[in-house]
Amino acid sequence: MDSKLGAALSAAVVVLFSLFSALELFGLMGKNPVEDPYHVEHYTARIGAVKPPSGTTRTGFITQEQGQSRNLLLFLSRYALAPILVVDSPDVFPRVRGARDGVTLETKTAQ
Amino acid sequence: MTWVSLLLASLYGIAGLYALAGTRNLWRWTFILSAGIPLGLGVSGLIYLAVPAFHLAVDALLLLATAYLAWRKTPADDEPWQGFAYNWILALAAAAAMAFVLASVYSASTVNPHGDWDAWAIWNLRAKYLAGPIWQHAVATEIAVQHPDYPLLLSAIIARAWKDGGNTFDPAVPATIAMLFFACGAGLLASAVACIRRSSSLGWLSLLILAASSSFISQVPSQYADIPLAVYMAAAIACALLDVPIAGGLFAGLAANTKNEGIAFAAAYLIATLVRTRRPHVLCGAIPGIAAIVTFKAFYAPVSEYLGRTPDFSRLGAIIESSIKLIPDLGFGLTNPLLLLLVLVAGLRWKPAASPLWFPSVLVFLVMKFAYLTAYLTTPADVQWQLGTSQSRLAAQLWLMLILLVLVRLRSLEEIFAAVAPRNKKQPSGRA
Repeated sequence: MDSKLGAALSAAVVVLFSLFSALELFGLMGKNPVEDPYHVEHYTARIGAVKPPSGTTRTGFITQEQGQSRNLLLFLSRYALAPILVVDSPDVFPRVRGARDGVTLETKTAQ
Repeated sequence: MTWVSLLLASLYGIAGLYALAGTRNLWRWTFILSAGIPLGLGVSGLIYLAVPAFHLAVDALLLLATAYLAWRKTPADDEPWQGFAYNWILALAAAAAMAFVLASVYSASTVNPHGDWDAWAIWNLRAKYLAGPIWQHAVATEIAVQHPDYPLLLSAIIARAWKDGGNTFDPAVPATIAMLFFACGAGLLASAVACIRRSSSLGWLSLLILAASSSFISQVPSQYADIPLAVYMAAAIACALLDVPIAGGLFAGLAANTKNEGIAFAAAYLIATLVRTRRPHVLCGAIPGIAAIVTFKAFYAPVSEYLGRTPDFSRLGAIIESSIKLIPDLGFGLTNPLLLLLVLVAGLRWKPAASPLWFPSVLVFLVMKFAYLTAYLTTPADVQWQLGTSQSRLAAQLWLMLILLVLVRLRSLEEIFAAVAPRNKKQPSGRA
């Protein structure tokens, strides 16, 4: 094949296919949350990224279904980084026996 | 104040890079802008880790110093580049594709403002501790699952911005930093390819390949450290090929502080460039980053879970199988970016390397692949789980570098169509 024709064809393929791919991506991305709001609420509690809802003192909300959450719950409670931890199940409580004095645990059922 | 803080860091990164690599050329300016921002953010992160209480004062001094050096810099005149009559089509297509990509990333970041799992479980969590009164929580052994042995640079960049903004822990900060790294990565890829090959067409084509890299792009709203690492590694390679060794060393040092994989990259990069060039400049640039990571690993980081483990070679089959299965997932069907790269190689054809550091750079790329293989052979976690959760991210880490290394070896449309669009000496250099 003529080198100019080959070069022009390959550049045209890249232009068209890249535009098509970018369009397809635009149609797909951002339509569904990776984490549902319930999980995002864990996160906000974990790092304190969002202020507690007005009128409450809740600063932590951890679920027990994830190993990392249990691990982090223990850590947060030990260092009193989240003075009040809200957990979704009383089953979590045995996991936080090392909690520092002054840390309150409350329960909340996941929606 | 958060945004002023990010702007301040970006400004001294741009000024510093201009002082090292400034020329009168539009593509070169694009490179300085898009590589200077992550450079400034990275250096600001290191400063925050070193002197958290006085970081703003040090930032201000650094801005003054780099602004002075940039003012003193006499940019070299660049010879005019060959033109190509249809570069405007490539430019329009690349701009449209990147607009769709950026809109996609923005949309995904809006729906998931806190990023994906590792963002809130590791990087942003540790950023909160670094911004708080007891920074040692970021390296506490009690949060072993949060990987306290991981380098702290990305968390420090976020923590600094949060702290300067009054510790509101606005999730827009890490999301913006993630998007900024991606946009800069795209800009530096296109501009580096264009500057190394003195070809606007290759610059636009590299951007188009990136726009088809859906697997890479989908990592951006996750807010993980893989995209910043990809940007730092690609910037270091670009600086080697552009012969800006001090900046190359700086970027390699920042890569080492971004993720553990970056340490392997920095070591391979410094050895390869030192052996090939026999000039110490690259080492001088890497000193801040090396000092930071050595201090962190020696005095603060818990021992890595990989240390002292022997490779389990029975995993080799599973690793190879998973690597092959990963290829179709790099993009969408026929628009797979690897396929598009092959189409370009077939259409434009290979040509001799323009830089003596191209082969050493390929060696660095291969060392990284070997480092990933070693990690999979030694990981204490279930290897299938590890492959499933990390392989696409590791591919993303090397993706910018791969596009860069391939595109700089291709003949440009300007060269192929030289008879169609004769060289115009009055055309401003670097224009599309």
